[in-house]
Amino acid sequence: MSDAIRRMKDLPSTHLLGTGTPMCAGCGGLEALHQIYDVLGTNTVFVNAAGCMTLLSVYPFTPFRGSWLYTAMACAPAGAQGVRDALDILLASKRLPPEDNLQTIVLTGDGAAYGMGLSSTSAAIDRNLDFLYICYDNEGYGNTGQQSSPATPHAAQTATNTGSRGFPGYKKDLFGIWAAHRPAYVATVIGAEPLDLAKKIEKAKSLRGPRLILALAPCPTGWDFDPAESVEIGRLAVRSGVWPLKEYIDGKVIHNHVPHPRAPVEEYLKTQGRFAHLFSPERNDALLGEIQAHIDAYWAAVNK
Amino acid sequence: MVVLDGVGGVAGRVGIGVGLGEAALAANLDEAFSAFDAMAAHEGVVHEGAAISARAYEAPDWTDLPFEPARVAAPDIFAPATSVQVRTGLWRTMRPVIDYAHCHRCVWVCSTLCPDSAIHVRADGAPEIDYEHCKGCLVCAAVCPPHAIQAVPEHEAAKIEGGGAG
Amino acid sequence: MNRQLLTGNAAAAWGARLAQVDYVPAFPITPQTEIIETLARWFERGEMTGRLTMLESEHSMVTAAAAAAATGVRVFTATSSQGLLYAMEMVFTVPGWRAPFVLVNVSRGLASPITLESDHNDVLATRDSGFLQVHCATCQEVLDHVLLAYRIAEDSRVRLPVIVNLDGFTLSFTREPVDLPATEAVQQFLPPFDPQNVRFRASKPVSQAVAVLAGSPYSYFRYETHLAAQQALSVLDEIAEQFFQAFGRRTGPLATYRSEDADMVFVMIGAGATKACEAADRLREAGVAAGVVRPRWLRPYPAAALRAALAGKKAVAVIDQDLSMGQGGVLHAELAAALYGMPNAPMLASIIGGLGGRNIPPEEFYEIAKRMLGFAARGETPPPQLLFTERELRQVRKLQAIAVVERKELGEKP
Repeated sequence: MSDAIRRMKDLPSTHLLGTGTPMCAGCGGLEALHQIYDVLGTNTVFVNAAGCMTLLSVYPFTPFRGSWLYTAMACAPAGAQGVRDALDILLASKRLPPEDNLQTIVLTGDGAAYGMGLSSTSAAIDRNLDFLYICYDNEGYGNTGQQSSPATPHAAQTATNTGSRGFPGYKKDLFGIWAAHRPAYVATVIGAEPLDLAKKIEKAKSLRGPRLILALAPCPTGWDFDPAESVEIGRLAVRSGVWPLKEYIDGKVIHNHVPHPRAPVEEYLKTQGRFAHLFSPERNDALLGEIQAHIDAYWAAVNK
Repeated sequence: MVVLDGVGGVAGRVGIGVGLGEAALAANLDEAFSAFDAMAAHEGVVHEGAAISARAYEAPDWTDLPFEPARVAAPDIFAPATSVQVRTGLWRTMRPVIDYAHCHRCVWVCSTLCPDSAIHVRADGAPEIDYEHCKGCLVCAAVCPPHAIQAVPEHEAAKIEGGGAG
Repeated sequence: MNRQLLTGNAAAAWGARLAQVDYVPAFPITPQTEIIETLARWFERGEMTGRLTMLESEHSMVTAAAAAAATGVRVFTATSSQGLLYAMEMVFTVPGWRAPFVLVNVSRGLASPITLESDHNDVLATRDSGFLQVHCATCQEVLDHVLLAYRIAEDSRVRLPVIVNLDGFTLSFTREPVDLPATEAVQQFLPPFDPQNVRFRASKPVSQAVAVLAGSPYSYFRYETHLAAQQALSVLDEIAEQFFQAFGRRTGPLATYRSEDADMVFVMIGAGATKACEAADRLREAGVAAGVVRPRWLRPYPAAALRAALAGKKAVAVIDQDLSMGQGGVLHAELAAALYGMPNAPMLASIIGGLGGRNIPPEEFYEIAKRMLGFAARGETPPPQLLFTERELRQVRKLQAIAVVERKELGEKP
């Protein structure tokens, strides 16, 4: 099924992920996953860790036309190791015909990817496991009600940071952590940019070894916005430089898109209730300045 | 539009109209309060029921669960995409409706960007919304380049079509 | 016949090799490390085909084991103590996947304080998990039960993972003569793994281990796992008979030693029970009708066999090499539940000993027997006893004195 995807018109018109899942209306994670699944195909086994997408499959309903294994929050990469090793053993001993082989996919939220699952992730990369890791990043522990996670951005309000300054930390650099392991491929994507996403999945699919697809997942429920805005907010994340679209491959980081001019981050922040405290009852110029400065510093380093 | 806490929503903030202004907020609060007042006519219909008697009750139909082998008794699903049997179309309060007169057939936009895979591409190349499953997020209406998708309140649309989501 | 002097760990490794396991996810911990080192060497030399993968933690190791079993290969793994505890989330999670594999636990006392020698608190903590568990007393039993465990685990009436336990140090590092069965005989007894419908392949998509929300369907799956565990007793009967036909050795849910006409019975599991058997011989010489009942299988719990073995005895002392803090001996509590209401139930007493490898010398067995028979004759039950001597307490005082050396001088009598 792989003619190269070059234009929007080339995007798959048959959608493989089943309807009827309990993901929220307008879920940016589901947005990314349904696009990814169309390119990856059904000869996949998704190994899942605890998060919002645990609930993709609730007995007896599953949206997958391929396979799925639910593990636990910290250990989806270890589950993928077991599946991949077993498939390789079966293939080598001719107990499985080659056409029955499966791509091993890990699917987790940011909670597992940025935190609890880092140990098993690091080790799987270190062992050069041939797997594709998909992280839907909604910048908090979403399934439990959007508590702060290591992926929460500076000054965002969450269920555990309800004060006027929001989350005091900064978003962890998971892209950098993966790149430091020198894996086969790392890419950021977003469902709002489907052509960029599809090309990157095609590329990832053609490679072997540890690969990460890190998808920002605008979250109507957790970020507090109308579901209809889900794609526009994703586009704003890219235009404002909050979400760089980039790849790591062969030891180099490539930015696929340098927003120019770069929209002021306020345009992005204003769309979401989790940042409303920065504008109302009065503007918090200090925090807004910190957020803008952090983004400016990132892009200044890119342009060097 | 009133932004209410839903399941998983950011705690404790009701009514912050994100950039939509005081007038819209006031109008919505008016609606909400009138709806609440309309409930007054039903006051007293729900009351605490009688305790179930321990003298005269329907005995539970207990069974000795038979042992069943693992190929039956493991939490596994052996068919693809059984989720389509869940009618998430029942979630909708607003229904997106395609005006085919203005639709440009750029299905790579709406069909790709529907998060739920609920927009099919017909044989003739036109998009078709699967109302059994459409959750009414209205992303399609927001992204349609010729603005050919309108949002219609679900109860009105259901009256027109004589069936709604099901 | 191939008879070798093997440690318990080597016997476990040989069990895995003879079972022709496909996959060994591994992580080292004392006192089981020799098992995975041995297997790693065999894989590297091509004496075993398949793969050994070093995982980065026992939690990941058990996940990988079950995931590989769920994909359709025969899996072996091993751990102990703190490692078993680190895996505990997955120990409880994976039996519900209904994918069989064997985990050898080399038992070791638990922190705190951290220690190295054996007791049974680690393996007994898994008793609610859905893993079956069998306890070995000799190195021969270790090898035999790895093979038996695969047969039982993979039986379509069971399909649950099994823990084969051996005592750390006392068995893991002790050499005993072991008959190594011939490869062909093992292949006859243990055919290649048939994953049945629990496997991953592109042509038959399946969603495994999915969430089940709502108490009624959840209860169905949990009850069925329990019923399957109970099935293992009747499956064991069949398979033990086949094992005897193939290898000439008998096994079953209980081992008994001179218990049929005993007045006084010690109930113990694992290698420590062999010391009880030696004590029973000496007691018999001294005119005391002593015997030993040694459960091998604890999950499923052989309640009927235990009732039959202990009915009509005057006194039974359960020697728990474990301790449930604030309650007492785990085996004692489970046995008391099994015997409750039995018309000719024995006087049942609880003894705790052997924690962290603490030795139970012959004199303690003799004294236990004497006290038990005395209480039984008076129609009384003694309170639970924690085995500890004055001499041991003096030794501890000396250590405590060293630990506060600025206030006391070495050698000062406590």
